[in-house]
Amino acid sequence: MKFLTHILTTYLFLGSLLSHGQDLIRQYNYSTGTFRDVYLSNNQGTVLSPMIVPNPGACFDLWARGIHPDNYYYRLDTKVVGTYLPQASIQITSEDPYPATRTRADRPYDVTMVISGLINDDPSAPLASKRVLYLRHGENYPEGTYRIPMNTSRSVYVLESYDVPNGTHQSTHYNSISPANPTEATGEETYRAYSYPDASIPVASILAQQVIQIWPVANAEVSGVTENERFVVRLPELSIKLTALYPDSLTYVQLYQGPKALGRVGTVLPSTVRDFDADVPQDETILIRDWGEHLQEDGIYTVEVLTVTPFNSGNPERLGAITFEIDREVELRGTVTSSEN
Amino acid sequence: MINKTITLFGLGLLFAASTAFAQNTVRFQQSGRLDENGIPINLRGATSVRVSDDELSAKKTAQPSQFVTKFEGRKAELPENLSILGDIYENSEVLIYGDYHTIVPKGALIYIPPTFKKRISKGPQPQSQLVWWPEFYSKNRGWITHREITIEQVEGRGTFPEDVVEVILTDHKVVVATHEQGPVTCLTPLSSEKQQPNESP
Repeated sequence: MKFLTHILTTYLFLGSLLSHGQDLIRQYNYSTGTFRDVYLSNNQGTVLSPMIVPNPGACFDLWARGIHPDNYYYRLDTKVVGTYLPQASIQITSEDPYPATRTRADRPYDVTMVISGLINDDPSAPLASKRVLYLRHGENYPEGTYRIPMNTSRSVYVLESYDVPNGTHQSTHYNSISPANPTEATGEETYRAYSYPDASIPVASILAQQVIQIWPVANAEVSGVTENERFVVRLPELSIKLTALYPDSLTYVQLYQGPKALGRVGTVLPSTVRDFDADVPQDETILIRDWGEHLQEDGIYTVEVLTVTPFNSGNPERLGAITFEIDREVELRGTVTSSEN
Repeated sequence: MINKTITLFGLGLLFAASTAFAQNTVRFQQSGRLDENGIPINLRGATSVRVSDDELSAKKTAQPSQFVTKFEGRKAELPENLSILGDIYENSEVLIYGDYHTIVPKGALIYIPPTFKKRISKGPQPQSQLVWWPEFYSKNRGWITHREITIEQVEGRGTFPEDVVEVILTDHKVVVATHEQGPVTCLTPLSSEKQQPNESP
């Protein structure tokens, strides 16, 4: 048998966030159908595959476990090594520069796929040497979770599939994860380039892959005050329910005099500030008591919930606002009469 | 033999960091976005309002997914044997004990004594914690052992010597095939003549 080589595998994790010392590369040899596990002792480094790679090639999957109590496992990357394989790379770009590609349900993102190494000018050549399979698929996270379920009930659906030639292929997308309410889309979309099966490698092999997470649009519900309500005696306690705050977000409540209007800068209520750098969206409930000190004068006021994220050019977005009236001045109307005649 | 070194650079660098961080870890920012009193600095007014479902649906309809470069691709049918999920459990044997389990490559279990058949399974085990093989093995040496095998045995071109078979059968432990300490598929069957009825594999 003609051997290709041993494989020197260089791996580099975003380790401090991920790994706890041992992660796994699983090698699959196409010709024999055998698997071999290599455990890694560091977050980055180089290992030599102990299994020689026979023709036509092998596939390497890099897996990691979450950090306790996270009981999940993650496929970080896949690489196929073979004698006659095209090359592919995929890059997804969103407005959020976070290393784990992610965006918000209401934002578009760009995908660039570069394919090379295919034979274009031979009409008699098999499909595997002329085209690469481009596949986009989606998967919703189950309600109330922010991850793929760790059981057999996963539901992956194909969104697009093309066979593509050599070249740079750029595309732009909104997510196609489609719950009843599109602002609540929660899941991930995966872009893959596969080599087509041929006589030497009988299965479609992943040449490149990228995943983007889709997080919902945050929402704010203000209770305790209704639109245009008038307060005479005392102010109520406000409750603000914040759901799905973007993982990288700064959210706060401000008060200003006058009806609601974009562009207004008011008084920030210090106890309402929430500054997150998280991996998944965050929920919060904020109670506001004794806020009368911020409302010295009678008049029209607006309480407004703002969030700052990587989107909207870093400018605040209004999640919710309610306008109300303070009218504490007591007017006595009456007459004074005397019983004396 | 062609000796050639290939570097797979960036294996695990960025892709999938997406799912990789899908854990409910919250870190409050040291972002420099707040002043010493915890108030946002550089206050600005809102420039937009949260999008509604109807507005978002309209935006998505108006701007469907599209290629912005000249695209010569064609709609494609998926190959019949395409596995989209590619879950690690698909190609694994699962060993379970207590609240923990581990995975080894499909075909890596050379021998399973009848006593321990219930500790072997397939597929995800959501009720127990996945630990990697080295950790699981170190804590379960009482019923698991491993045996180094050759490339020929991996690929089904070898045999197991009789004395080795004897040791395996009398040791009454689950035997995992390894090559240079790493669990590996073994296509060479253990001599079946000496196995008792109902014994695996």
